[in-house]
Amino acid sequence: MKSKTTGKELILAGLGCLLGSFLFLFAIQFYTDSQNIIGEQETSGSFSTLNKKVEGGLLENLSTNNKTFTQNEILEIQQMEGVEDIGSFSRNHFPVTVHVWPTGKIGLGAAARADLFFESIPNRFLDQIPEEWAWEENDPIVPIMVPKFYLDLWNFGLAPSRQEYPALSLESASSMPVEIFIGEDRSQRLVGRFVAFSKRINSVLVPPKFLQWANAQFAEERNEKYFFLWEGDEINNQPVSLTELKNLPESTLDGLVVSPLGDPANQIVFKNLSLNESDRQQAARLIIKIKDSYAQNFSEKIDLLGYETNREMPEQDWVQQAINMMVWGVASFGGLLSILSIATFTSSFKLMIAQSSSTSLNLLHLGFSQSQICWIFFQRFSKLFILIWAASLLLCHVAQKFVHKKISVYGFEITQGLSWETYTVASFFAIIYMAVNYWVIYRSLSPLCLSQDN
Amino acid sequence: MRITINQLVPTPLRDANIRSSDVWGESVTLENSKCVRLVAQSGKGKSTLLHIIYGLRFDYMGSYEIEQEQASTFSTGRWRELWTNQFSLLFQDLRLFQHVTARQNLELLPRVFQSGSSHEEMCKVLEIDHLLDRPVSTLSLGQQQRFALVRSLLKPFKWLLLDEPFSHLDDENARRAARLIETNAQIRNASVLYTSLSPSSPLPCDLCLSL
Repeated sequence: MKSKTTGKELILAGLGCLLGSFLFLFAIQFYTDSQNIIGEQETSGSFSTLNKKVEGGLLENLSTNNKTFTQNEILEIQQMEGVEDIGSFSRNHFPVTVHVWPTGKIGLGAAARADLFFESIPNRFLDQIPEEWAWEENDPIVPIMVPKFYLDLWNFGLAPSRQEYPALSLESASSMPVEIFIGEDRSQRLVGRFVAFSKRINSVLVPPKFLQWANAQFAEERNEKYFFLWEGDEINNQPVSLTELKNLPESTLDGLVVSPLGDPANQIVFKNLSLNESDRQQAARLIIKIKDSYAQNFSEKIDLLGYETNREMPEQDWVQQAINMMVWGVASFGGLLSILSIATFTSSFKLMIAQSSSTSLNLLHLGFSQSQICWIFFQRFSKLFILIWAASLLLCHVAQKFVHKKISVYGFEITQGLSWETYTVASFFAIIYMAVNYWVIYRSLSPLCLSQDN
Repeated sequence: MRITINQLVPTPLRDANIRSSDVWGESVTLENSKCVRLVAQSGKGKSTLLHIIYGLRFDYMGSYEIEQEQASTFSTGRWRELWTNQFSLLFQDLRLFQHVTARQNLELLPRVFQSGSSHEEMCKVLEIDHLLDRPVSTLSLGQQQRFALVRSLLKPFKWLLLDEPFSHLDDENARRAARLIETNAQIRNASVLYTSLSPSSPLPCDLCLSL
């Protein structure tokens, strides 16, 4: 059962099979590795922030200020299908201005200055909680967490356009001092530091404990304690304190419209004022963890309720889609090559069987069955295939090591060695490939076995 | 196992003079447990008859029955069953696998008669046991013929078909081979149908037919 002329076809088919199985298996390995990396970056489930829509013109919004969620509304959202967890954003009630010192020292070089806001969310919604995140009263440094893309904006937007702002690595950005000025007159000064760069939350976050403390300390009650009274379309120039307003006779309160001292355009019906006061403690933005499979459904339902959602870190989806497309592409190409290699093997077997037809017939006449003769050819194929299969797994292993080396530079870690998924797929691939080829050999022998001698 | 031949004429011999033949165009019954010798000169269809009975050729007129079944109706599976368990054929051209050893040729058989002698014992009788591990291509025709005979005797069979089994053997080796054939046929209670160029042969027969 030897044939020299089929050698070239066998080598060609073998190479096709090697490349095809390698690409196919490496696609599986790459997929499992990338899923592990994404899994580490993002816990299971999707995160969305939720707020009420702001609609209508300026005049309509002047008289209403009810954009916070009531307890009933929060409860309703919590009970929706797919919602795993819900938390509210707290915000600062005082003006904040920050000076960021990219040189690493306050007073040295130019500072980037910005009016800012702070928010806080329960720690369980954070994608990372560094040690420095724990804040206690009198701690000298206020930990701040900003989105990772802020750093990217700095490095690729701001820094190239301003000579005084250097590009920053994660480490150098973490060591920058941040002066925090509180109040319109910036009378209070604290020092903060960026302790983490979130890949999930698009907000400037501080620890909830700090925000609670700071709101208690610095919340500017002045603007909300004194109000302008509206008489028709005009403001009465003399501000009135809340206490004075509350002491007015009940009959005069009906239809009374006021506006805060610091925000004279914000018309509020006085009877709603107390409600608005308590609203200040309620959340205007919610963060929600939704099961992945319900994310789309949830988004549609929320839209019907008249709320707005923002998927946090939607680029995760993008990455996932890109990975899926790449994996499908590589796996399909590998699969196609494998199928083509089967076709090459088929022609090779047919040639081999044709060339050894007298030997095959001799065996047949000695009492060998078609299966037994098929097995003789198949054993030869099996030896070649097992060699190819082992080589493709070895190539996968080498390729994975190469990828690991490349991506470890960016701080990603993947488990060394091939995953069980790859081994499982490789085993199924081997079984199917061998079964198909056994069938091909058997079919190639059929005409010989049926024709008899003549 | 009885073989009945009815007016059988191979297509290549239809225009030949077959009037003097005991087989071609005649009705002949080959009984069980008998030894039948077919004697004819070259070109008279000795190998052709064996090949037709063995199911290797279908270019004939007339018919023949194996165990009262028309051979022309046999499926491939039925022929394969006959080749495996009922028939054993020693080809005139021997058909040994040349690139492997004699032992590998003998051990290659898919099914071996269990109650008979082993291939080593048979080879010893034919004085070729020392050649077992030599590639067949290095053996003389006489040695190859004896190995081919051993291979045909190792199989289970009810009919042993031998195509000029002593053609390359000297008298002494032919006698040894004939004794081995007789013994193995008796053990199996099988029939032997063999061809010969001459009417005299070391293997005695119950029936001698001329082609």
